[in-house]
Amino acid sequence: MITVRHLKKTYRVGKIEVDAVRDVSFDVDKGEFVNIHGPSGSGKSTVLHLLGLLDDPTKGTIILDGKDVSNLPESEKSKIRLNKMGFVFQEYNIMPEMTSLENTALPALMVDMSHNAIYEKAEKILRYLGLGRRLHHLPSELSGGEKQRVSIARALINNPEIIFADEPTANLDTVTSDIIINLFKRMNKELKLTILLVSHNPKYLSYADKIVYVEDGLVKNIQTNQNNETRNKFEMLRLFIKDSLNKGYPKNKIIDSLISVGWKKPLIDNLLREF
Amino acid sequence: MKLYNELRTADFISYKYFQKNYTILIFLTAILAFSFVNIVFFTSFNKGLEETVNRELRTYVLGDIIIEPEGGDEVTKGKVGEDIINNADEVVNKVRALPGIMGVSKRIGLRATIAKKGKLSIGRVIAVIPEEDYDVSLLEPTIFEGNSIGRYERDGILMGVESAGTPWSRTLTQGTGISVNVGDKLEVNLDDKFKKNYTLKGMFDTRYFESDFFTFINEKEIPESLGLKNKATSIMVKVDDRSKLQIYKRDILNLNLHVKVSTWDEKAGFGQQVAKSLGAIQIVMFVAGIVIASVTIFITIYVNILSRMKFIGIMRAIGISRSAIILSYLIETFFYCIAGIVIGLGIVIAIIKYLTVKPLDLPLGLVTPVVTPQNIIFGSLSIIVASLVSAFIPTWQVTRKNIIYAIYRGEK
Repeated sequence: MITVRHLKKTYRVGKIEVDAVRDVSFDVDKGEFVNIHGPSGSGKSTVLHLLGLLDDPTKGTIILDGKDVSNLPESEKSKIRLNKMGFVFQEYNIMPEMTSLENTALPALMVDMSHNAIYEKAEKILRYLGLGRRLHHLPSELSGGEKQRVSIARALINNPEIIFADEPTANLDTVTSDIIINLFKRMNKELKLTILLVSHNPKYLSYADKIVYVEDGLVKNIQTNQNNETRNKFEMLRLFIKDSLNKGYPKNKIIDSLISVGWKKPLIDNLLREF
Repeated sequence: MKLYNELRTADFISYKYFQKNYTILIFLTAILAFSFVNIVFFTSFNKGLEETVNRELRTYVLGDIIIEPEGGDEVTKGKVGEDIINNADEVVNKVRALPGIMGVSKRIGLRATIAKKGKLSIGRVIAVIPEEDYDVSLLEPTIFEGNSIGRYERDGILMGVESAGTPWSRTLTQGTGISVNVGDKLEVNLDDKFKKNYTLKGMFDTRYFESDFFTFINEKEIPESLGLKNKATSIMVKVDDRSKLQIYKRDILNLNLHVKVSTWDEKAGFGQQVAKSLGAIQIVMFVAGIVIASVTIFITIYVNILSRMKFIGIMRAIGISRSAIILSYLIETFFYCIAGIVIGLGIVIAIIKYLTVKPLDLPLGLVTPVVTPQNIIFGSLSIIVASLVSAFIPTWQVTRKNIIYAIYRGEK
């Protein structure tokens, strides 16, 4: 569905050029749940923005459904974002003056759908996401998790093929974060949506079909075709690290012992950061 | 369909914004209302002033039709006493005999000095047959002190407030510099050829500064020695139907009296000059009004749009087109304009109603601004166009920014 090759993004800060993404290549298949993982400042959000056509790459190509979309004019990109993509941001980014229903309906006003059909669909999606009693509430009257669910509802209104979620749980507590990530997983399974999730939280690695490790603007590792066994291994690893830390073992001892049995250091570092 | 979708999206965005942002609505509406009043009122004032000057000229100086010496231009060139109608009585009698003529008055304008106890004033004395002139010029009702000079009046003189000087004069120059009261003895020297003492019989106040500088005496006072019998510097004509001035003019010309005949509006150069002079100020005021409105709209929309840049970025990220976002701001601005114009129009109507009851008392006369539909349409269109352009520029600029920059405001 998406093919990314040698993607590079350089930002200019004054006279200094900063390579946010240096060389990123990977593929995303239709219906896949991809977790773009890496430490803060690794360039994972920039990769998501480039794939979501929110920014232009300095170099490289992005092929979407067989078509090179890397250098399309803004009007064309806007149409693709409207019809094929849905976005969920870290800070919810819903319109403060609009109710949940109106925020959800907003992108659908741009497509050929009657007013009534738009609002019926928006209501249906909000109910699907458990916001049936929050339809006419303003964002200021919603909790963080509810706001994020409105943001997800807005992303779903135009039947997108891909959902881009940039750190959607960063501002949420653990319980709400789990609910939101489970929601993405549910959408992935039930609606057959392709999900590209950016998260630095290793806890959610086990949800992904594919993990793209990004560090210093480069793809360090791609873990694909995770089956239940792999997911269980991740969960076991998490529990092992958590237990070891609780018992007071030093971090370097934990790292050494895990590397010796074949685990990769970036993954261990990320899991250690969780605790 | 695409345009319809963009329009309904833009309409929805601006409507939702209005619901929550009354402060900007009130502020911008007030500014636009002020600008509208500024533009429309000054244009109306100018028009009112022009009409007042023309009316005063017609009523006190020109009449409906003015007859002048064939080679002269008594009123506008001021060649008083130099160019003369030599067959004045014949002209008066023949014109008076024409159908539709309500009154005819011959006037002899003379340079004169008027002295009171050593204080001297230089002015213009007009010799008239009083009862005939009152029929044409409507001067008599403006007498506020004393009486008019009558048919058999001798040694009587009638002065305008500006000729009468302090305390009557309303102009900054305080009239001619002398100070007189009804009953005062005045020494009048006509054209340096004839000197005589007169008694001030009355004073008039036309509220039009040019005619208020006039001093009137009875034509019978003019001595034979001045050689002005059967002569006139101008003849004022009053008609029964002002819509047919050109017909009356043609009738008078057909009499072949060897005189120059003009309708009042053909001679109302001064009124037009006043309007023209004010027109220059009007353009300055208009430009100032438009600039104030434009700059305010520009700054307000710009600040507003900067504060909403994040949401503009989000809207673009979720697929709302640039044109729909720009359109939403234009709709918003258009609404401000309509609100501003409606309120501004209310203010203008209130001011005009007040000034109709209590006109502005200016040296040129009592002025009531005249609002025409053209003024309102022009003022409204100017405000709308200027505002839309001022709103479009910042919106267009901000929606061009990188989406990620707009959302996160980072230096990218």
